Amino acid sequence: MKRKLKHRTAHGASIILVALFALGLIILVFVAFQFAMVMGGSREVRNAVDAAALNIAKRSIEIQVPAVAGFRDVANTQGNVGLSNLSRTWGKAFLINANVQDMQNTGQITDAATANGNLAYEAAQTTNDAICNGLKNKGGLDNYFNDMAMNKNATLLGGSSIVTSQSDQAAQNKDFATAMVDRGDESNLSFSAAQLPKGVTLTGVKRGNNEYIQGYVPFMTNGKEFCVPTFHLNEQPHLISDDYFTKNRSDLAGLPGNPIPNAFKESGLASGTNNSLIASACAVANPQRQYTLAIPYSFVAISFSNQALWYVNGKKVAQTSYANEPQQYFQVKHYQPLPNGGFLDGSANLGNEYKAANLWMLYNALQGDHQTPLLKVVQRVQEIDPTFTMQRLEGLMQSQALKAGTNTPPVRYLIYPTYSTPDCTSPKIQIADSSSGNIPSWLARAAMGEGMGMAVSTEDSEKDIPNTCLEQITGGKNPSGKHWTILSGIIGFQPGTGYGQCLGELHIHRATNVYFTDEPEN
Amino acid sequence: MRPMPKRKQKGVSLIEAVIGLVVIIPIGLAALDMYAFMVAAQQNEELSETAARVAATKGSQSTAEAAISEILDRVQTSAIVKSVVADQVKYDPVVGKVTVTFSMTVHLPVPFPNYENLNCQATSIEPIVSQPAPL
Repeated sequence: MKRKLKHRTAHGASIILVALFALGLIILVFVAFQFAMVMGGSREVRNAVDAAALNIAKRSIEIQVPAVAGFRDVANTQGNVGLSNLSRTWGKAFLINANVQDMQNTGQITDAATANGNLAYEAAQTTNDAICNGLKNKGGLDNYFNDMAMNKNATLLGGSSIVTSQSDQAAQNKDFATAMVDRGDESNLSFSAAQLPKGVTLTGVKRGNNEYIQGYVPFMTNGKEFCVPTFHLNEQPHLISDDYFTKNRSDLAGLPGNPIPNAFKESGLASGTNNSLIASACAVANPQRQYTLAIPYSFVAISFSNQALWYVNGKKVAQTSYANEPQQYFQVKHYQPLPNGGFLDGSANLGNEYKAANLWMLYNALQGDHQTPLLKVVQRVQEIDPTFTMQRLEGLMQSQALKAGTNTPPVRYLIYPTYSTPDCTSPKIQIADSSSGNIPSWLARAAMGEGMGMAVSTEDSEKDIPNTCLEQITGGKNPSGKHWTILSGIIGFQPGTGYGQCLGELHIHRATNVYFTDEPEN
Repeated sequence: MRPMPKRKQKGVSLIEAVIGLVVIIPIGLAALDMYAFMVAAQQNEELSETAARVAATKGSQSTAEAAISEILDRVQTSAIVKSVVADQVKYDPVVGKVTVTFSMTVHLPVPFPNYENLNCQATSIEPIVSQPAPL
């Protein structure tokens, strides 16, 4: 029997097609939606990690250690040293060692100076290492990361999607991935070539009106290596590329002396309902503070001493000191025997050089080269304030009245800074005699330079000016004989390193030779 | 017995096509709306992120607000993005963070009744990087 074939109708064919097409469209939309969610989530994770890494760079300045003894003057208000002001500590240690180097160059070195140079360097290195450990401590820095990341959830990933820090697989021993970027650019420590002792040099980078020590470029003095971090002027903490970071990683491209890093890298992980995403970011720190190379708590001294040498007929009969004010001294009494018989009484009016109106005039009371010694003073004061000049020194000395009435020379005048800011920046250079009540409490008045003193200049001799003498011969042929005074001076400089605060002392030693004879006067 | 009259086939495909379009077109239009909204929301997020980063480089609440105002002035509205406003600019130097919230009014290309405009919000938080280290 021939079976009758059923004729399939086209009824509903379009419906099926429409249903399939609609289903495909819905799937397509769903996939597109999921893709958009993942992309959005990825963007959220990246943003969160960027902000969190930036937070590390920003808050890295909070990692601080207490300043070691002798370096409180280069610490912050709390007495701490961190990433922002470590260069000041290195700068002070450098200047101390530059002064030691200067003493070596001039043959004025002593064991005490060498020891203090070593102590200063060790102190700076100890501080550096402690900060460096803090800046590489993953636990500490991750707190800064997570503190920011927790505010920026990757909500598009679904679930809680909190972004948290990840261990850096490239770093070993739980060290944070750090780098020293922008090598050779400016640090945040400016200096002036004039403030360095003769024979000590430093390479800098000029930015605006200032010259800054190069960051991450080791520099040497006194056989020791110094290094400060780079911090660009007028720049804020910001993100940097992963490539640039990797090229400058502390562990892959390190520098001698364990310099502190200035850039940080961290990865963050966000786990969503269905997806987990990891992103990493690198950021460079910048404390936005500039400092000047200086030894803030230090001073330079200028001292005067007076001596009288008494001679009778060419023979020295006494050696005394005299006060820093005009006084009559009756030192030769009944001197005998005299060739012509009788005895001699001699007196002198000494200290007349102190009739000067001020310190500047006293310093220049005799003729001679007074400029060369003052150049050493200016250089040393520039280690406190690089803007200090010879003109300002002259002005200070002119403003300083003489301390009169003391019988215990030498008289010492101190040139020292005062600060209105708690971190000892912006010094105002002052002068006072060492017993003045104006001298700040931090200043160790009795501190002396560690180096050996050396004559820098000699003053021309003056006969019978300004000191004079008188003699009287009793029982001889003449009631009086030839008599005269010779006033002369030697200006010496005893250098200091600054470790014990004293950067040096200019010593003006004046001697009045008092001559008596029984030769008849013309 | 009288045979059943045979139904005409004419117009069936048309009817099916119409029914199909009635299903597909709304899905397509909804997808278009969704796409437009997602793009706008993404733009809003990027805008708030950029604004927060700029504000983080400023030194105070007022300068941060001024910077954000400049950013908003440069935003070009369109047939879809009707407006963008800053709901919140919180510059907190104590906490060290700046929070910026932007609201964007999105006009859907195929508006549904009572849903012509949608509002999307985006909040960004950034660390303030303008503060120098304390003395």
